[in-house]
Amino acid sequence: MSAEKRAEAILEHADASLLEIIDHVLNKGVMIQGEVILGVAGVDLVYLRLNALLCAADKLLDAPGKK
Amino acid sequence: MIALYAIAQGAPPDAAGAFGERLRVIAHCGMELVCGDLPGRLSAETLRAYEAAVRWIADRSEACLPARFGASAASEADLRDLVEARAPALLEALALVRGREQMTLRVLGDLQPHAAAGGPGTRYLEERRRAAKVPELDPLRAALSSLIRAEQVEPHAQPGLVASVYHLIDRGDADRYRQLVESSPLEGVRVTVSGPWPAWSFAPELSR
Amino acid sequence: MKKDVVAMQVRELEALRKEIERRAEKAPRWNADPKDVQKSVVRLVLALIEFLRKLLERQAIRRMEAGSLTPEQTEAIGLALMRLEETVHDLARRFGLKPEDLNLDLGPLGRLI
Repeated sequence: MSAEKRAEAILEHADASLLEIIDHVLNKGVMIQGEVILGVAGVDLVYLRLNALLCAADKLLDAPGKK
Repeated sequence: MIALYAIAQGAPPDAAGAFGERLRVIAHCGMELVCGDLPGRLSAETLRAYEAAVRWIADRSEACLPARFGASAASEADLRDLVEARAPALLEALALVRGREQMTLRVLGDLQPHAAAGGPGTRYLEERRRAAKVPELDPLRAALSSLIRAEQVEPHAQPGLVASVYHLIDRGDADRYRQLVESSPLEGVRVTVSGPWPAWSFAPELSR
Repeated sequence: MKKDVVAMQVRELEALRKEIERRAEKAPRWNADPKDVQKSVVRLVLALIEFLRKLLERQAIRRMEAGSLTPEQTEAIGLALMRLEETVHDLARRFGLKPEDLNLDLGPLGRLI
């Protein structure tokens, strides 16, 4: 599977907790040069991720936010 | 190549990485650089394991700045150089997050068009200011004021998703924070809470 | 107060300088297709203008909140920024560039400072 397909597959099957994890570990933190792992993904994870988060949040509307 | 897991102070010496490997702690400039092996590939398991490893470190450190997944340097010497170049900002960030953790709010809904006064230029600036600040959350901020030690806002401007707001709170305040969020009514937007998390959003970027 | 403003501007200009260096390093050194060269030059130029525009926007908002702009200045700066944003996005569209293409890469997620 290409790196892009892999990234898409991860997001497609991610549940709400994984999406939150992805958003925190990929989006923020001490950032230094070295996109060895992510550079090959080539997918704009921000937009996919945020859209996916939104859908997940909507599905969880009636469930208490848990971590 | 080495992967950076976190920059900390008072870090546990026996932390394990995403692959169960023993992590190395490099002391430099009054900080502890917690390092391990690069994740081989992007997968759900690796991401979960990385987050768990950083969380374990943060929970046991006096102060901890998580490193973004994939953060790496060509060598220990390179890493030391990068850290040294940003030492003042990193030390300041460590002081801020000491004994603290992060709560994350997702602000759902749509930005209401705001009837602002003035000409088109003034209205434009005001709209930009609101997008950056999300004043719809002010009642919530007021309710949380005794708990919030710092705030970061990330505007999204996506339909249905206004912004992500990150709050730094003292360790132990998460339940109280959640209670206050759940009992504070908001107009025009709603929020979901997650946390506590390590202080991902309060970590600066190292220079290239 | 004035010293802080200058210090802040110096920091931001330094950040811009670093970003230009980084972009120059990444720019293709040769390209067979002149249209591609043109597009990447346009992209670089527009991205830099976007960077500056967002810097100026942040500063304008800060000054507006601090109350150090007169209503006339607020209107003038707001209009100038608004027009600049429209122009940049129009140009980008004409070259087949999306707004995301103009965001400075701080990582693979292409976020802004």
